[in-house]
Amino acid sequence: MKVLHLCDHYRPFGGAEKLLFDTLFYLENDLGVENVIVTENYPENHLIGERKEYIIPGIAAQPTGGIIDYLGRCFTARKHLRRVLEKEKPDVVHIHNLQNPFSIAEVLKASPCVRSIHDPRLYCFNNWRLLPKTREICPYPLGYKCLTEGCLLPNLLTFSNDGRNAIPRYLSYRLHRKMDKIIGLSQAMISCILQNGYREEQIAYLPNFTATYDLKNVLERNIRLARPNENSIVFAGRASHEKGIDYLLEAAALLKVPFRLYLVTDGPYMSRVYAKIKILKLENKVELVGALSYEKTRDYYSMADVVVVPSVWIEPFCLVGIEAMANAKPVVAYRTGGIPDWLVDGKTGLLAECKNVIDLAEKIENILLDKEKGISYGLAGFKRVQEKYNKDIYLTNLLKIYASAIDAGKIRLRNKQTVK
Amino acid sequence: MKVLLINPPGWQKGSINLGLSYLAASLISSGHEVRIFDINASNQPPDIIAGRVAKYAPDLIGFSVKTATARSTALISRNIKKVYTRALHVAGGPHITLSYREFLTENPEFEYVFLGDSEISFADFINRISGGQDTHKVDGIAYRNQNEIITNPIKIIENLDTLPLPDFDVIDIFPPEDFRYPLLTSRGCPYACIYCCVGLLSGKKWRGRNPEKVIEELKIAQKRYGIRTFEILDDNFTLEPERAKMFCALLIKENLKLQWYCHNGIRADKIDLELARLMRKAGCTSVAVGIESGDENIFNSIRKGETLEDIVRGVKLIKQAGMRVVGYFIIGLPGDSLESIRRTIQFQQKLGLDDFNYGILNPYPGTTVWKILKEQGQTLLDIKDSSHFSNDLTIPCEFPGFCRNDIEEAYYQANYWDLYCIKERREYRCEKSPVKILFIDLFPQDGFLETVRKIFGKCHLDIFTTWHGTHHYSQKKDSGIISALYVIEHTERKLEKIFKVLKHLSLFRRNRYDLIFFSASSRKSIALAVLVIIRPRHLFFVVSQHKIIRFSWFQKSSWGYITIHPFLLFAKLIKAVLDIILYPLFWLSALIFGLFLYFKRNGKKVIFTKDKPLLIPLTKRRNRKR
Repeated sequence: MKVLHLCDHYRPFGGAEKLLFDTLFYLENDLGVENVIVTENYPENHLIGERKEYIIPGIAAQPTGGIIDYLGRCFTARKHLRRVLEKEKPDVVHIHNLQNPFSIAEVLKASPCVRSIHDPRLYCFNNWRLLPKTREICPYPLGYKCLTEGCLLPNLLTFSNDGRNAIPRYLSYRLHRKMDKIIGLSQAMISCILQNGYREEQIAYLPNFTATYDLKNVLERNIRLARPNENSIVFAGRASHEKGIDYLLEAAALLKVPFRLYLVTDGPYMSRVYAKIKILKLENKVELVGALSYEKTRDYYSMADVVVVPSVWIEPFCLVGIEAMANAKPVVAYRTGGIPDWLVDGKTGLLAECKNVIDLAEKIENILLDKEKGISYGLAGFKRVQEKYNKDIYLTNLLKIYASAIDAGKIRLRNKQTVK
Repeated sequence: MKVLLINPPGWQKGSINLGLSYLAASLISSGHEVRIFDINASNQPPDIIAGRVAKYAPDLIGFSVKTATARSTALISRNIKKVYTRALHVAGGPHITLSYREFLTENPEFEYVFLGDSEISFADFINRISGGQDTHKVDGIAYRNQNEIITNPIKIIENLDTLPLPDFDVIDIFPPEDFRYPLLTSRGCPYACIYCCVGLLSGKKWRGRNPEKVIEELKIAQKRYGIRTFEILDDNFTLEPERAKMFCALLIKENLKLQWYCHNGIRADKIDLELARLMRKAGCTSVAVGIESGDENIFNSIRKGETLEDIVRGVKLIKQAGMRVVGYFIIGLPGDSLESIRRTIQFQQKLGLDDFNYGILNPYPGTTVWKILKEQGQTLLDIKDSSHFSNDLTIPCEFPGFCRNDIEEAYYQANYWDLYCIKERREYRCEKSPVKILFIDLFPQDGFLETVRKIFGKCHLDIFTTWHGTHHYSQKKDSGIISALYVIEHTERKLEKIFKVLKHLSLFRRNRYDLIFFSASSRKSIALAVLVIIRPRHLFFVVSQHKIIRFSWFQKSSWGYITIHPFLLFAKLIKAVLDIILYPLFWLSALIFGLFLYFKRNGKKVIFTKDKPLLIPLTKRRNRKR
């Protein structure tokens, strides 16, 4: 089978990209699938040489630099993409994080398509599904509420970045109605996809996976890296509002037990994080580690007594959670988005009420005070990942999705030709 | 036979290993299957490479080894041997030719090594293996025979036109970013410069290709890869000026419209005005000249076979013809001192070069300088660990009268002479307050702070950056290296961002800095705003960790950092005019889109309960009517 992957970032960047690289690796090595990559011409995107790779400038273009410029780039990219599709003739095209309607229209015209949804950008004009006035989770579908709630109204007419993006994003949203399969990572995400008018038969549920290890090795590693004289809390993820890093810091300030908080993070909120640490007088209790590769982050998971996921948006899945569980660590998280799918409250960790800092602090403290309980949560989490979120299940289901997309795509393309 | 060629990491990024492409072409013409893994471009860890090699399953693996990549070669080879034992490991390349005995002794996993030009010998070797013949009689190879190392003499390739053209299609990452077609029109150099190893690698006998064949190669490359630029990689392109002129004349005649460079260096004494003008007319835009030293005594002692007057004349001719001139200099030659380096800097400034590069001497085995080092100098670092053809500061050796600290001082003086002038002027005026510096680093240039600290010692250093640099600089601030850190927070709104930048710039104006550094990769419009609003006394553009350019309104070359090319400006103007003309249309479409969204009231509201997400119809009023 030949799969053409269309993505904007082609480097270890975030959870979605880690999943992409892991998927490519296992598809090639375990199942002999031939992968072809088509990606945007970002300076950080580099060819690796492990598989066929194409860099097409404008493939993920956004109209931020002017509409004329945007249209020019999109048409050129579309032409190049058409050539690649004609040359490679993939069995199926797998679209990852990419919103450009021109690129999506081109692949839909040529081949069966599968789309992975990694965030709400498909059906949200301001990316995170948080209402701008209150910063609460937005319960509405893409539509008139985007105007009345202030997500779109000033931006659309003042041509700010979100405003310029609005019409292309709406086109992409409409084009996805023709998509053969849309992959949702969690029940919450599937509800959001359904809420936005996509057909039930289009949607496939495929939760993320992570590398799994032998329990003995994991426990040995945890013992080796543990800091017995310290209560270690670990946060791994982007430093931004939606990932809730400021809520975590506030919760940390409420903790009554001695602790050390490790922030494996970088992102747009970094200056605020530094400021908040000072305001809350946590300088001696918080260590800012910076962004790390998964291998290095794993050392922090192994060292941690508890891993915290304080996300305050509709978290699509949160890979960090299952990574922590794969390393036999308990997780404390806010009950939001796809988190309850993998975190069984009171079994693999504890769920706190979203945005409730006191509740979060209490749950963290519970685990820090009763480390035995933490270990039992970690072991239960480890078992859950081994059973439900391993690569074999993921790849088998992914291949099934590809197969059904190919069938649906063939019918769609045949019908289109008949209409012509 | 299935052959894998590996270009190990540790060399200049973005470069293509032309030698491997020549070898690949030679093997393909003998009917073998070849692939090249360019690890220098992909930068993959050894275990991943080993996995890839095992997947490809070659019968023979050939490594191209430069002194800078010798360590990584051994590491990769060992990792491959762990997972894939079926292939024979062989090596070739400059480092092997210079020190194959040491390499074979240190790396038992390699069975054969190839010396000098190996297109013919390597193909012969593989043909013999696949034919089951004796491989020990191949020319230009060395191998282990129990404890002894047997060497077969090198047979140089007299007629380069008989070689097949290099094959780039077999490279796993091709074309690389900023691809410039690497072109070789000749090999070898008859001169005896004491620091140079070309004579040992390619031979003292210079051999040139037929210019018509070279043009033919360019035509093929243009058709096949759509090249727009090429780079001549000859050791001595202008040794026979008439041949060089013929090449340029043919290039003009064929009108291939290619831009090209001679960055491997040409000899200044071999260029005349006719050749310079022909080169320019043929599309050459930039030429590098190996100057090495501006001190007459040192220059004469390195036996380049030319004089400083030749250099002055050559540079003048190249500039006269309208090409850029880049000068290459060496710090640490035998007899060098801080004074001689100062004389070199003065000479370099008099030449009016467009660009220059100061590198630290690397004594390659077998060269005269290496022999002098053995007799008089001291080795400080294994040459394999030293940086080669890069600006990173590593000092592999020192000679009497020019110790390690002096070499380091000379390196900083040569590369940052303008900063030293400012420092000395302050000392002359007895200004005792620490120098006040602002570094506007909107796209972080890691490592530059160390340079500033090295030159100015204790100073008041402020940083202005975006969130990308926050973590990096916050740590520096905590350790006391930085005095103040100003960060523009992330915002989606352009106007808000502009307002924030302007607010900061007006604050910086009040702070009255002595020096302002500006990372050159940041937006040019901000650089212009810095000049207009802050009006700094000294503004430097930080091009890279090792390169800074002083801004002066009177120097046309520094305008490039604040202005854009007229053609781009014209294109931008046209786009802006079109945007303005079409603005009512865009606005109208935005309005229609808004109205469309407003009246299209359908969908469901999602509510996240403790058990599961629920979907509730959004338009209650309509439901009631129904």
